[in-house]
Amino acid sequence: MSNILAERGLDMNSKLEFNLKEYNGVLEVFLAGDLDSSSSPKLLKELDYNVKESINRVIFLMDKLEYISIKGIRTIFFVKERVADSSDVVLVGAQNNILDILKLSELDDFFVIKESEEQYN
Amino acid sequence: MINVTSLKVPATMKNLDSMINYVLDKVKKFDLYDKKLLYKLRLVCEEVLVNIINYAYQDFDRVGYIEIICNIYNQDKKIILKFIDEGIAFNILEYEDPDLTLPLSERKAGGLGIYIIKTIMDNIEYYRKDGKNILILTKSIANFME
Repeated sequence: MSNILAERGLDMNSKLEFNLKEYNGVLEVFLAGDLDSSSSPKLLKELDYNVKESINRVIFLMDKLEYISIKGIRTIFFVKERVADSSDVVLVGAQNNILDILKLSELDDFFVIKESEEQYN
Repeated sequence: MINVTSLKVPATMKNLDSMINYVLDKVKKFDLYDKKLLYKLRLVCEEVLVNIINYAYQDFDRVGYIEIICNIYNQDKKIILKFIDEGIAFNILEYEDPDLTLPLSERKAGGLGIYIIKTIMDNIEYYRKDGKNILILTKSIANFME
Protein backbone atom coordinates (compact mmCIF):
# COMPACT_ATOMS: atom_id res chain seq x y z
CA MET A 1 0.00 0.00 0.00
CA SER A 2 1.33 3.40 -0.89
CA ASN A 3 1.98 5.99 1.74
CA ILE A 4 1.03 9.54 0.81
CA LEU A 5 3.77 11.63 2.37
CA ALA A 6 2.84 15.06 1.25
CA GLU A 7 0.14 16.64 -0.84
CA ARG A 8 -0.45 20.21 -1.87
CA GLY A 9 -3.44 21.43 -3.82
CA LEU A 10 -3.11 23.99 -6.60
CA ASP A 11 -4.64 27.10 -5.08
CA MET A 12 -4.85 30.72 -6.24
CA ASN A 13 -1.44 31.52 -4.78
CA SER A 14 0.40 28.44 -5.95
CA LYS A 15 1.73 27.76 -9.42
CA LEU A 16 2.87 24.27 -8.54
CA GLU A 17 0.89 21.23 -7.51
CA PHE A 18 2.83 18.27 -6.24
CA ASN A 19 2.41 15.14 -4.20
CA LEU A 20 4.82 12.50 -3.00
CA LYS A 21 4.13 8.79 -2.55
CA GLU A 22 6.51 6.19 -1.19
CA TYR A 23 6.22 2.46 -1.78
CA ASN A 24 8.81 -0.33 -1.62
CA GLY A 25 11.79 2.02 -1.67
CA VAL A 26 10.34 4.06 -4.53
CA LEU A 27 9.49 7.72 -4.12
CA GLU A 28 7.00 8.91 -6.72
CA VAL A 29 6.73 12.67 -7.17
CA PHE A 30 3.82 14.04 -9.20
CA LEU A 31 4.36 17.56 -10.54
CA ALA A 32 1.90 19.91 -12.26
CA GLY A 33 2.10 23.59 -13.17
CA ASP A 34 5.23 25.70 -12.87
CA LEU A 35 8.39 24.74 -10.99
CA ASP A 36 10.15 28.09 -10.79
CA SER A 37 12.12 30.25 -8.37
CA SER A 38 9.12 31.01 -6.20
CA SER A 39 7.51 27.56 -6.15
CA SER A 40 10.58 25.31 -5.91
CA PRO A 41 11.54 25.98 -2.25
CA LYS A 42 8.40 24.19 -0.99
CA LEU A 43 9.12 21.14 -3.11
CA LEU A 44 12.78 21.16 -2.10
CA LYS A 45 11.76 21.14 1.55
CA GLU A 46 9.54 18.08 1.01
CA LEU A 47 12.22 16.28 -1.01
CA ASP A 48 14.83 17.06 1.61
CA TYR A 49 12.58 15.44 4.21
CA ASN A 50 11.48 12.43 2.17
CA VAL A 51 14.52 11.36 0.13
CA LYS A 52 16.14 9.00 2.63
CA GLU A 53 18.76 6.28 2.40
CA SER A 54 16.03 3.68 2.05
CA ILE A 55 14.91 5.22 -1.26
CA ASN A 56 16.44 3.43 -4.23
CA ARG A 57 14.39 4.99 -7.01
CA VAL A 58 12.78 8.39 -7.44
CA ILE A 59 10.22 8.84 -10.20
CA PHE A 60 9.14 12.34 -11.22
CA LEU A 61 5.81 12.28 -13.09
CA MET A 62 6.13 15.41 -15.22
CA ASP A 63 3.52 15.25 -17.98
CA LYS A 64 1.47 17.99 -16.28
CA LEU A 65 4.51 20.15 -15.61
CA GLU A 66 4.32 23.20 -17.89
CA TYR A 67 7.51 25.05 -16.95
CA ILE A 68 10.74 24.46 -15.13
CA SER A 69 13.34 27.13 -14.42
CA ILE A 70 17.02 26.68 -13.55
CA LYS A 71 16.06 26.77 -9.88
CA GLY A 72 13.53 24.03 -10.61
CA ILE A 73 16.17 21.95 -12.38
CA ARG A 74 18.43 22.37 -9.36
CA THR A 75 15.59 21.11 -7.16
CA ILE A 76 15.22 17.95 -9.25
CA PHE A 77 18.97 17.56 -9.38
CA PHE A 78 19.17 17.78 -5.60
CA VAL A 79 17.53 14.36 -5.54
CA LYS A 80 20.09 12.90 -7.93
CA GLU A 81 22.88 14.04 -5.66
CA ARG A 82 21.11 12.84 -2.52
CA VAL A 83 20.39 9.25 -3.57
CA ALA A 84 23.02 6.54 -3.91
CA ASP A 85 24.90 6.29 -7.21
CA SER A 86 23.17 3.01 -7.90
CA SER A 87 19.71 4.57 -7.56
CA ASP A 88 17.66 5.75 -10.52
CA VAL A 89 16.11 9.16 -10.84
CA VAL A 90 13.49 8.82 -13.56
CA LEU A 91 11.77 11.69 -15.37
CA VAL A 92 8.51 10.51 -16.94
CA GLY A 93 6.51 12.40 -19.57
CA ALA A 94 8.54 15.63 -19.59
CA GLN A 95 7.39 18.05 -22.29
CA ASN A 96 9.77 18.97 -25.11
CA ASN A 97 10.47 22.49 -23.81
CA ILE A 98 11.57 21.01 -20.49
CA LEU A 99 13.72 18.35 -22.17
CA ASP A 100 15.31 21.06 -24.32
CA ILE A 101 16.41 23.00 -21.24
CA LEU A 102 17.77 19.85 -19.59
CA LYS A 103 19.79 19.13 -22.74
CA LEU A 104 20.97 22.73 -22.93
CA SER A 105 22.19 22.40 -19.34
CA GLU A 106 23.86 19.09 -20.23
CA LEU A 107 22.06 17.51 -17.30
CA ASP A 108 19.88 15.10 -19.25
CA ASP A 109 22.46 12.30 -19.01
CA PHE A 110 22.12 12.25 -15.22
CA PHE A 111 18.52 11.04 -15.44
CA VAL A 112 16.59 8.15 -16.90
CA ILE A 113 14.14 9.86 -19.26
CA LYS A 114 10.95 8.10 -20.33
CA GLU A 115 8.03 9.33 -22.39
CA SER A 116 5.33 7.61 -20.36
CA GLU A 117 4.75 5.62 -17.22
CA GLU A 118 3.83 2.60 -19.33
CA GLN A 119 7.20 2.85 -21.10
CA TYR A 120 8.96 2.89 -17.76
CA ASN A 121 7.01 0.04 -16.26
CA MET B 1 10.24 49.99 -33.65
CA ILE B 2 6.85 49.58 -32.06
CA ASN B 3 5.26 50.35 -28.75
CA VAL B 4 8.16 51.21 -26.46
CA THR B 5 7.14 50.96 -22.83
CA SER B 6 8.85 50.08 -19.60
CA LEU B 7 8.08 48.69 -16.18
CA LYS B 8 9.83 49.87 -13.02
CA VAL B 9 9.12 48.06 -9.75
CA PRO B 10 10.83 47.23 -6.45
CA ALA B 11 13.30 44.34 -6.78
CA THR B 12 11.39 41.75 -4.76
CA MET B 13 10.30 38.16 -5.39
CA LYS B 14 6.73 39.37 -4.94
CA ASN B 15 7.10 41.34 -8.19
CA LEU B 16 8.81 38.56 -10.15
CA ASP B 17 5.70 37.31 -11.95
CA SER B 18 4.49 40.80 -12.91
CA MET B 19 7.91 41.60 -14.38
CA ILE B 20 8.04 38.38 -16.39
CA ASN B 21 4.43 38.81 -17.53
CA TYR B 22 5.17 42.35 -18.70
CA VAL B 23 7.62 40.88 -21.23
CA LEU B 24 5.55 37.86 -22.21
CA ASP B 25 2.35 39.90 -22.64
CA LYS B 26 4.16 42.28 -24.99
CA VAL B 27 5.48 39.41 -27.07
CA LYS B 28 2.03 37.82 -27.28
CA LYS B 29 0.53 41.08 -28.60
CA PHE B 30 2.71 41.10 -31.68
CA ASP B 31 1.64 37.84 -33.28
CA LEU B 32 4.88 36.24 -32.17
CA TYR B 33 3.13 33.72 -30.04
CA ASP B 34 5.22 30.62 -30.08
CA LYS B 35 5.46 28.32 -27.11
CA LYS B 36 9.20 27.71 -27.52
CA LEU B 37 9.98 31.41 -27.79
CA LEU B 38 7.81 32.26 -24.79
CA TYR B 39 9.38 29.48 -22.72
CA LYS B 40 12.90 30.65 -23.48
CA LEU B 41 12.12 34.31 -22.84
CA ARG B 42 10.44 33.41 -19.55
CA LEU B 43 13.46 31.37 -18.50
CA VAL B 44 15.89 34.17 -19.39
CA CYS B 45 13.79 36.85 -17.68
CA GLU B 46 13.48 34.75 -14.52
CA GLU B 47 17.23 34.15 -14.34
CA VAL B 48 18.15 37.80 -14.88
CA LEU B 49 15.52 39.11 -12.46
CA VAL B 50 16.21 36.61 -9.67
CA ASN B 51 19.92 37.42 -9.88
CA ILE B 52 19.13 41.12 -9.47
CA ILE B 53 16.62 40.48 -6.65
CA ASN B 54 19.01 38.19 -4.74
CA TYR B 55 22.35 39.89 -5.26
CA ALA B 56 22.22 43.44 -6.68
CA TYR B 57 21.00 45.12 -3.51
CA GLN B 58 22.30 42.70 -0.85
CA ASP B 59 24.63 45.37 0.62
CA PHE B 60 21.97 48.08 0.59
CA ASP B 61 19.76 49.07 3.52
CA ARG B 62 16.79 49.66 1.24
CA VAL B 63 14.87 47.79 -1.41
CA GLY B 64 16.16 48.76 -4.83
CA TYR B 65 14.28 48.77 -8.10
CA ILE B 66 14.38 47.01 -11.44
CA GLU B 67 13.39 48.67 -14.69
CA ILE B 68 12.60 46.52 -17.73
CA ILE B 69 12.23 47.84 -21.25
CA CYS B 70 10.96 45.45 -23.91
CA ASN B 71 11.17 46.55 -27.54
CA ILE B 72 10.02 44.46 -30.44
CA TYR B 73 11.37 45.33 -33.87
CA ASN B 74 9.18 43.86 -36.61
CA GLN B 75 11.37 44.99 -39.50
CA ASP B 76 14.63 43.74 -38.04
CA LYS B 77 12.87 40.72 -36.57
CA LYS B 78 14.27 40.95 -33.07
CA ILE B 79 13.32 41.51 -29.46
CA ILE B 80 15.52 43.67 -27.26
CA LEU B 81 15.18 43.40 -23.50
CA LYS B 82 16.86 45.99 -21.30
CA PHE B 83 17.25 45.40 -17.55
CA ILE B 84 18.37 48.32 -15.37
CA ASP B 85 19.22 48.31 -11.67
CA GLU B 86 21.21 50.53 -9.29
CA GLY B 87 22.81 47.68 -7.37
CA ILE B 88 26.41 46.58 -7.11
CA ALA B 89 28.23 46.35 -10.43
CA PHE B 90 27.81 42.97 -12.09
CA ASN B 91 28.92 42.24 -15.63
CA ILE B 92 27.34 39.02 -16.79
CA LEU B 93 29.83 38.85 -19.68
CA GLU B 94 32.75 38.54 -17.26
CA TYR B 95 31.16 35.61 -15.46
CA GLU B 96 33.00 32.41 -16.27
CA ASP B 97 30.93 29.69 -17.93
CA PRO B 98 30.40 26.67 -15.68
CA ASP B 99 32.30 23.46 -16.16
CA LEU B 100 29.40 21.26 -17.21
CA THR B 101 31.42 18.14 -16.54
CA LEU B 102 31.36 18.84 -12.78
CA PRO B 103 28.53 17.68 -10.53
CA LEU B 104 25.98 20.47 -10.04
CA SER B 105 26.90 20.78 -6.36
CA GLU B 106 30.49 21.65 -7.28
CA ARG B 107 29.58 24.26 -9.85
CA LYS B 108 29.64 27.96 -9.04
CA ALA B 109 26.28 29.31 -7.85
CA GLY B 110 24.44 31.13 -10.60
CA GLY B 111 26.75 29.80 -13.27
CA LEU B 112 24.22 27.54 -14.94
CA GLY B 113 21.59 30.26 -15.19
CA ILE B 114 24.01 32.71 -16.77
CA TYR B 115 25.22 30.01 -19.15
CA ILE B 116 21.61 29.39 -20.22
CA ILE B 117 21.04 33.14 -20.77
CA LYS B 118 24.14 33.29 -22.97
CA THR B 119 23.07 30.21 -24.89
CA ILE B 120 19.48 31.32 -25.55
CA MET B 121 20.05 34.98 -26.42
CA ASP B 122 21.77 36.05 -29.63
CA ASN B 123 23.54 39.12 -28.30
CA ILE B 124 24.39 40.43 -24.82
CA GLU B 125 25.66 43.88 -23.93
CA TYR B 126 26.46 45.29 -20.51
CA TYR B 127 27.15 48.85 -19.42
CA ARG B 128 27.80 50.45 -16.06
CA LYS B 129 26.63 54.06 -16.26
CA ASP B 130 25.70 56.61 -13.58
CA GLY B 131 25.81 53.90 -10.92
CA LYS B 132 23.44 51.65 -12.86
CA ASN B 133 23.81 48.18 -14.33
CA ILE B 134 22.35 48.14 -17.83
CA LEU B 135 21.97 44.72 -19.39
CA ILE B 136 20.74 44.50 -22.98
CA LEU B 137 19.68 41.13 -24.36
CA THR B 138 18.75 40.60 -27.99
CA LYS B 139 16.84 37.67 -29.44
CA SER B 140 16.22 37.17 -33.14
CA ILE B 141 12.59 36.30 -33.85
CA ALA B 142 13.03 35.63 -37.55
CA ASN B 143 12.25 31.95 -36.99
CA PHE B 144 9.10 32.81 -35.07
CA MET B 145 7.52 35.15 -37.66
CA GLU B 146 5.61 34.22 -40.79
